[in-house]
Amino acid sequence: MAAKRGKNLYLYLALACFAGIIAIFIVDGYFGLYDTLYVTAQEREQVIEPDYWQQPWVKEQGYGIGAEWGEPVYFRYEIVNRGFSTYSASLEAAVWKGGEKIVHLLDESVSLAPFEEVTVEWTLQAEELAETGFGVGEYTVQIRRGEVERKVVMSLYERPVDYKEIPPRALPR
Amino acid sequence: MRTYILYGFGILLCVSGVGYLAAEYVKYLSEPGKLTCLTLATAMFALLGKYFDSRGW
Repeated sequence: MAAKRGKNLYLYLALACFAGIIAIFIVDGYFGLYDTLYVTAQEREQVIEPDYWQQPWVKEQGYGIGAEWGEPVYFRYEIVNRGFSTYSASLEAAVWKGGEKIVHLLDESVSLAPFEEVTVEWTLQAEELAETGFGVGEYTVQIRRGEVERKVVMSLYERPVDYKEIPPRALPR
Repeated sequence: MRTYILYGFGILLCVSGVGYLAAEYVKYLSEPGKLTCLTLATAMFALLGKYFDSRGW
């Protein structure tokens, strides 16, 4: 019986190693620094989760959103520090067009104690863009947190033309 | 003989599938996490080898 247990000991240890690998995946996924961006335009809130920023096409081209020209676009940026050390970085948000910074939205520094979160909010008004001489079209909202860069490509378009409703004509008898 | 070829093909597909998934997941792990996983995986295969050896395989 003891010999059998001794033989199985290696198997149990191998299973323990496997369980350890799975545990590392879970624990490693929990710890870290996570940022989520909430963009509200046209009464709809879009959430850009931390995982989404890792996708190669989002890294290169940014996340695309659409909004109507003239309506404000609300941004809420949430940073969660799930680590054992304090995280400090400068946070900057700006609107870019044609490789040029045209509107400065935010510039502040954030400091997060271990297991703390912070939320920063700002609003983009169409008037700010109009002052720079630009109109409807595509803009890039760039969020820079320390070395990390997040891009949101915003398509601003004009309100569609409202067509008048024509009452149906009575059919001739 | 044909059965063994099919077994071999199935095992190859399983190993490549698991390898692909592991490579995808490992991309998102931190450096210490990757190192610990590598150590545990090495230990796991070594212990499995010892287990099969003790069974006379």
